[in-house]
Amino acid sequence: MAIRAMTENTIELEAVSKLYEKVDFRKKLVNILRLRGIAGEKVTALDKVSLEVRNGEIFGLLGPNGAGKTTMIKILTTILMPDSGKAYVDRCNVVTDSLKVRARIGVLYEESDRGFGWRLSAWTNLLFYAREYLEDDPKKRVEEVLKMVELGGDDAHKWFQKLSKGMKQKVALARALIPDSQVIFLDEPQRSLDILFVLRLKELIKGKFGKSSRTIFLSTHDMHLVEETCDRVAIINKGRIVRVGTVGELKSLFRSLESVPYTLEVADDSAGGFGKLSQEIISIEGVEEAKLINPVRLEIHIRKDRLDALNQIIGTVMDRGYTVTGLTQKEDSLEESIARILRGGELES
Amino acid sequence: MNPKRILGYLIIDFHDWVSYKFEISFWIINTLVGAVTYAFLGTNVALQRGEQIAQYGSFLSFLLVGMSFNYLIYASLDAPRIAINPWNLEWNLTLPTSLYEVILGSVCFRYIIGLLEFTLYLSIASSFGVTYAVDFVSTIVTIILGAAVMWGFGMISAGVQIITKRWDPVTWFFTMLGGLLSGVWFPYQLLPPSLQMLSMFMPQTHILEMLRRAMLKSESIASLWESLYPLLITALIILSIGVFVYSRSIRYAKEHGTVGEF
Repeated sequence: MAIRAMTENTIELEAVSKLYEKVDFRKKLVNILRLRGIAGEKVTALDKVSLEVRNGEIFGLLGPNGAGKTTMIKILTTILMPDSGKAYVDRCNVVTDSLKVRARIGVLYEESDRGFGWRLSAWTNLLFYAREYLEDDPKKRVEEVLKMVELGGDDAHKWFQKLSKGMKQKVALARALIPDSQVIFLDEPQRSLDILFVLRLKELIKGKFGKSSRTIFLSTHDMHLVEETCDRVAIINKGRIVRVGTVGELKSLFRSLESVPYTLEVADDSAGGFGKLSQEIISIEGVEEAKLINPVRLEIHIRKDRLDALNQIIGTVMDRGYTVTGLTQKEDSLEESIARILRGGELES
Repeated sequence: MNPKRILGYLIIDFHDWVSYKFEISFWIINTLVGAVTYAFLGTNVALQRGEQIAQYGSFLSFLLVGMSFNYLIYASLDAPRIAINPWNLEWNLTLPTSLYEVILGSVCFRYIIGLLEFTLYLSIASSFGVTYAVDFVSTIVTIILGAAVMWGFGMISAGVQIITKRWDPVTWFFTMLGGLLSGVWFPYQLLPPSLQMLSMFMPQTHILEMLRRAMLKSESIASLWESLYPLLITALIILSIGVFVYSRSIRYAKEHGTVGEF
C-alpha cells in the first residue's frame, strides 16, 4: 500500500467512528463464524471524529472517563480497527499499512505494565523490545533510554515485579522511547510517578525526548501537564471532538468581554461582617458582581470601562477597618474552561 | 483466624470459576476421560504381553516414545497460545513484527525445550535397558511433520481462545482425549471398536505409530511413505487452516476491542 502524499500533518483522522457491541458469549461464537442477523446493543466510543495533528506538535487529548481517548489511541496504534472512516499516522493508513505505522511509533499505553516479563529485569525486558525494533545496537539503546528515564544501577537489573509502580511506569516510558520514532503516543504518562520525575517528564515532553521534529500525542487528565507542555489540545466528550485549540485559546474561551474578575483578600475577619461588605461593594458603580469565596476573600467583577472602581473598593474596605492583603486579577483556568465545555456551557465571547 | 474470611476467598474463587461456563463443562468431561484412561490402563495388565506391544520390543519402549512425543505435542499446541496471552498480545500487535514472526518466534524456545525433554526421556530409558532401532531420517521427518500438524491445531486453538478467552476445546481434544484414544499409553487397537474409529481421526494416532516404527523398528522413509504422504497433506491443510483461524481471530479481536481482555 502506497504511503500518502506529504502533508503537514503527522496524524489525521477522517470521520472515524467506533462502536462497541455488547454481545454475550454465545453470540461471540456465532459472530466468529460470520453469521448474520445478530444485533447486539451498541455503545458509541468515537462518533465521526476528524482531527489533524501537525508535524512536530505536542498535542494533548483531554476528556472525561469513557470519552473515547483510549479508543482513539488504540486505533492510531493499530490494535483496534475503526468501524468507519480513515486514520493515518505519518501518512500510513492504520488499517491497511499497520506494520508501517507500528514501525513509526512509540507507545505508552494506559495499562503500561503489560507485555513485560515480571520475572525478568527491566534491562532484559527492554533489550527484547530493542531487538524487535531492530535497533542497530540494542544494548546501547537500552542504556540510552534507561538514562533518559533516570532508571539505572541496581533498579534496572531488578525483576520487573520487584519495582515500584512508578519505576514500572518509567520502564514502560523507556519502552516507548526505544524505537526513537517520529511519533510517540503517551496515555496517562504521569501515572504513579513521583513529583520529581513528573517535573523531569514535563521537561522531556517539552524537549520532545531529544528530537525536535518528533510529534507527541498525549492523553491525560493532568491539566498541569497539558498546560505546560502542549502546543494544542483537543477536548473529547462522548466520542466527539468538542473543541480544538491552544491552551491559551481554551483558557480564554469563557472570558467575558465586558468585565474583569479580581480577587480581593483581607487579613482576617475577626470582627465579622466581611460578607456583608459585598453588598456595599456591589453598589459601587462599575462593579457587576461581588461574591464571598471564603470568610476573607471576595471575587469581584468590574466593568472594563470602569476599572477606576478598584480605588473606591479598596477605600471602602479599608474604611471598614480591614487590612487589604491582596488584590489580584483572576487568571483564566484551563480546568474551569474544560469543565464548562464538557457541561455544554455557552461561550460568552 | 476468621473462617468468614476463608469463606470469602472460597466464594470469590467459585464465582470466578463459574464465570467460565464452558470450562466447567469440560472440567467435568476431563475428569471422566482421565479416569477412564487410567482405569483402562490399570485394568489391562495383559496388554504388556500383548501382540501389539511385542512388535515394539517392550511396553516401556512403547510407552516412552509415546510420552516423549507428547511433550512435542504440548509444545506445538502451547506456543501459539502463549503468544496470544492478553498480557502479551496487545504488545505483539503494537510491535512492527508480523504475525508470522510472532508465532514462529514464540514457538522456537518451546520446541527446543520439547526436544530436550524428548531426548532426555529416551536417554534415561536407554540407561534402564530400553533399546532403540532408529532410522534417523524417517524419525526427523516424522517429528517435523507431526509438529507441523500439531502447530496448525495450536493456532486453531489460540484463535478460538482469542474469542473465548479461557475455554480451549482444541488443546483439550488433543491432550485429554488424545491420551485415551491416540495410543500414547497403550496401542489404540486395544480399545473397543467404536473408540478405535475415533482414534483413526486423530492425527496423533498416525504420527505416534509412524514414530514408533521409525524409532523402534528402524523403518525407512520408503517403508513409511504410505503413511507419510497423507501426513504431509494433513500438515499443509491444518497449517493453512491454523493460519487462517488465527489471523481471523486477531482481526475479530481488533474489530471488537478485545485484544487486551482476559
